[in-house]
Amino acid sequence: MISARKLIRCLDEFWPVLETLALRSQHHTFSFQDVQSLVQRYAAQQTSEQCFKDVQRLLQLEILIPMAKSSQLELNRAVLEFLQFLTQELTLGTVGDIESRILELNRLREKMTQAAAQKDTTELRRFVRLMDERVREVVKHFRKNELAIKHLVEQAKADDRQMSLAKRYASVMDAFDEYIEPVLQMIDINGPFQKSIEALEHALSDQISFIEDTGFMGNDKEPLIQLRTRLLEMNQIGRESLIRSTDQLMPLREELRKNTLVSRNASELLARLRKQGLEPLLDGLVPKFSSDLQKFSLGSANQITSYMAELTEYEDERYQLPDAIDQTPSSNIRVPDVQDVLKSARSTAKKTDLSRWLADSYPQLPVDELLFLYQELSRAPALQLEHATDTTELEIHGYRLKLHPFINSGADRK
Amino acid sequence: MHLDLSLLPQLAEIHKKLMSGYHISEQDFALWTELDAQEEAYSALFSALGNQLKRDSRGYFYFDADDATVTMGKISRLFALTIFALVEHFSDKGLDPLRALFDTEIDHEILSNILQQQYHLFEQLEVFSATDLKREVANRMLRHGFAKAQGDNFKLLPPIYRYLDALMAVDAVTEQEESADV
Repeated sequence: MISARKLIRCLDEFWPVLETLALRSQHHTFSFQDVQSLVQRYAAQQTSEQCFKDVQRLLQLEILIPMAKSSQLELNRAVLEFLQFLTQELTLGTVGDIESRILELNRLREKMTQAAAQKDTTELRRFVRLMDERVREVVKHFRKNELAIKHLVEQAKADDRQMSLAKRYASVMDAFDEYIEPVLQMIDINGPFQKSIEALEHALSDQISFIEDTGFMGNDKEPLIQLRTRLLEMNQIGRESLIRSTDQLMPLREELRKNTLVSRNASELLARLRKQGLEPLLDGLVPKFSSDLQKFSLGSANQITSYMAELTEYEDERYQLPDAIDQTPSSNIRVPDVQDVLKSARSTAKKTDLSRWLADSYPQLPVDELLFLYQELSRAPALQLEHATDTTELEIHGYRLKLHPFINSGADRK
Repeated sequence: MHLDLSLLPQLAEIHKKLMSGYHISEQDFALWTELDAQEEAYSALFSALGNQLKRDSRGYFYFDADDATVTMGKISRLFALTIFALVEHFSDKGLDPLRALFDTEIDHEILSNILQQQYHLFEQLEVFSATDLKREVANRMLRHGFAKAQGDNFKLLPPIYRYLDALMAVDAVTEQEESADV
C-alpha cells in the first residue's frame, strides 16, 4: 500500500517534471530515458545516477506506470486528472457525463419517494446523500467543461497565425457541435434535464411539506432543504456556464463562417464573371463612392461664392457667323413635285436619255434639285429604266455632268 | 440644430476629402478623431449641403453616393475585381482571407499572381501587367482611402469591407435573380 503522504511529498518534489509530463501525455507517451533527462533538466546539479533513482521512485509510487507490452511509460490516470484539476488544464467532457447523472438522479428520486412512503429514515438519508453527490458532480462537470472550453479558445487564438482558421479552430468547432449544442438541447425548457429537475424539486418540496406538517422525521428536513437549494443552484450554474461558453465560442464560429463564405463567394463570383463578363454582374454589386452630383453640386458655400464671382464677370462670346460666299440672290423657284414629274415622264418621255429629258424639261431648276429628280425617277419601276453603256455629257448652269444615263428600256425595245 | 464651427476646425479638409470619394478611416488620425467626436454636427451640416455622411462600425466614414460617374464606375469595378481576386489568392494559399487581406503587405509578386490568375478579367478593364495594376488600382486605392502605403507596397484598410459586404451579399442577389427568372 502506497502511503498517501509520501505520494503528496513526491508530487511536490517533482512538480515541474510532472507538470511537463502532464502536458506531453495529451499527445504521446514517454520513455524512462525521457523522464530521466527531464529530471536532469530541472535538477542540473544531480548526477545521472541520482536522476535514475528519482525516476525509479516515481515508478515505485505508481505515479508513472509502464504501458502494456511496451517499455514506454505513462502518467497514472488519477495523478493526471489531479494535475489537470490543479493546473485547470481540463479536457472537455461529454454531454453523456451530465446526462447519465441526471438519469441517476431520476432513479434515486423514485427510491427516495418509496423510502419516504415506507417511513424508512435510514434509506431516505442514504438516497438524499447520493443525490447530493450526483448534483455536486453535475455542477463540477459544468464548471470543468466551461474551463476546458475557455482553455480551448485561448489555445486556438494563440496558435500559429499562419495556419488557417479552419485548422486552428477545429477543436473549438468540435466543442461547439459535440458539447454545447447537445447540452443546450438537453437543458432546453422541454428537455429531459428540466423535467427531471422539476420532478425532483416537487418530490423534495412535498417531502419538506410533509415533515413540516407532521413533524415526523424532523431531523431530515435540513438535508432535504440543502439538496433542493443545491439542485436549483445546479440549474442556474448550468445555464450560466453554457451562456459563457457559447459567448466565447460564437465569435470564433462567426469568424470562421465569414471567412468560408467570403472565400466561397469570391471563387463563385469570379467564375461567373469569367463566363458572363464583367459589366452586368459587377455593376449592380460594387459600391459607389463618388458621383457627378456630388462633384458638381453647388453644395458648399465656397463653391457658391466662386460660382457667383464667375457670374459677375460673365460675358457671352459673340457668335461668329461665316462670311457669305454666294452673293447672288436666290430666285424663288418652284420645285416640281416628284409625282408630277413621274407622270409627265411616263406620258412624254419617249426619249432614251432621262438626264437630258430632265434638263430640257426643267431648265430653270438648280442642279441639286435636278439631280434629286433624276435619282427619284431612276428608281421608279413604272419607267422601266436601265443604264446606258455610253456616257453623256450635260452642261447645266455652268456645271458639267458626265454620266451613264438611264434610258427607257421599253422605248428602246419599241 | 445649432452648429459651432469653432468645434469643427478640420471642416474644410474633411469636406474636400469626402467629396472626392475618399474614405476617412482611423489611420487619418486628426480627421477621424474630429469626425468621431463631432459626428452629429458633421452629419447635420453635410446633409444640409446635400450629402449623406455614413459611418461604418468597422471604422470609417464616407459620403453615400447614389450614382457613380462612368470613370468611378470603372475604378470601382477594378477595385472589386482586385479585392475578390486577392480573396481567392489568399484562400488558395490556405490563409483566412479576412485576416490576410488586412495583415499582408501587397507587393508586386502578389499583384503579378492575381493578374496571372484572372488575366482574362483584368484584360477587360484594360489592365495588362502588374505595373498597370499597381498604377490603376493601388495608387487609386491610396487616393480613396482604401489602402495605405508601406514603402513600395501597400496594405488594405477597413473601407474595403464595402466590397467584402457586397461579396457576402452575392448569395442573396443570386437567389433573388433565380427566383425572378422562375
